[in-house]
Amino acid sequence: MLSISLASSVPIHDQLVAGLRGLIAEGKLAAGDELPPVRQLAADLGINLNTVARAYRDLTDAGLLASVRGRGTIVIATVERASGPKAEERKRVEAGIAAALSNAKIAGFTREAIEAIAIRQIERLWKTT
Amino acid sequence: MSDALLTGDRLFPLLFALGFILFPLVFAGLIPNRATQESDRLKVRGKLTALVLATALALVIWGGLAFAGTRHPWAATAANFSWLMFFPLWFGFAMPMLGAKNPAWAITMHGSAESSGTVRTASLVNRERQNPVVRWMWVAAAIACAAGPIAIALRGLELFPMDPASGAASISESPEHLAWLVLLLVSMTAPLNLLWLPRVLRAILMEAEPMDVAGSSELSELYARQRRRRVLGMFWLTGIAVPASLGAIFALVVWFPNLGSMWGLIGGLGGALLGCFGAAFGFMMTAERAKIAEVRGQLNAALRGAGNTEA
Repeated sequence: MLSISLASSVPIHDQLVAGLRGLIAEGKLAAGDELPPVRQLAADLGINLNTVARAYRDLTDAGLLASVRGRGTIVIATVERASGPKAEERKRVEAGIAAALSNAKIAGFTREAIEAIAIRQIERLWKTT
Repeated sequence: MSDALLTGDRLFPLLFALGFILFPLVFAGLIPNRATQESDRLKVRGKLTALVLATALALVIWGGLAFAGTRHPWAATAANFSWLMFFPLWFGFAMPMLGAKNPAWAITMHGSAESSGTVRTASLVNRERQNPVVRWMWVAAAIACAAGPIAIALRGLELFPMDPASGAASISESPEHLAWLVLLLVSMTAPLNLLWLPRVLRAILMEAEPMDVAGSSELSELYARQRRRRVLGMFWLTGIAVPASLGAIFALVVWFPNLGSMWGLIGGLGGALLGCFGAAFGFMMTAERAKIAEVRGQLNAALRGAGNTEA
């Protein structure tokens, strides 16, 4: 299942990308799994076709999805790669974590609270892989 | 009214049209009113008044044409086609009234976007892969679509009788030959069914199935059962029953033209029955979707209730 919130300040496109990334990271979507057609997902979520198409395209560009003739859009990313992450991915992830931590500090989170959230998310993602 | 109006072949199409004209009012009237607010009840009353007035106008037109039809053939033909007034009555008046009476019907008619709240959840199952129509069924549909035109075409291999009374100069001008040619051409449109039917079935599979916030399996199963019934019902009705029965009647007309009036009556009754069955099926499916929308609302409400309790 994939959920989005229309009340969230995060753009729907970003929620879709993050949601699908999360499902892949949690192992709920595995390599070879087919995603629903753009039209189906857009209809189910009641959002614009182009938003879903753009999210699929961005994840395809990021190497997580691929369009296969006769099968539609499928997941090609595996949760664990034998070679580990590439240097540029490492940089991107680090920048993302730094930005999230900065936002948390500005919002008034304590160090302990952020550590608890981080540990919870790490447990969620790594326990299944 | 003259006796001519009371003969079966005149009366049946008129009663058929009358039934179609009255149906939206009767159906919309029978649906229970679930509007709870006074303003909503007023809205229902207003829409009911509009539907009653529109139906009365349609009845006046129908009655006028039926009466004029006893003297003018064009009016009789127009009266037979007055069932077409069903469409504006249904889509213009009855459906808005149904939506006002029951919010679940409104959700079914307007899709998910207006009713799903701010949190939207979707299943990631590709429903195109869950098409219950398998290969042998398409073979059956191809046979059903092709059998009629083939049976009619085979009649062309035999000679057509020359009736001196018809004034035809050659076989190609004989009434039976002309009827054969027309029915052959019309029946050859049946295989076109196989071009658009897969698209229609795909559209059904792609239809919005908004989930409750928790994405419960109960709702998924309800959708899956309903989707399967809709796809199979549409396939058997439009892919098999309609082309097979049309082809059979046309073939009987060209092979046994002496019994033409009997085939006409059987064809008319069969067509009306198929039409009624199709309409009943459509309404049943819409009602089921409305029920699923209600279940989704209940599941979301239960989840909100649980959240409030926890808070």
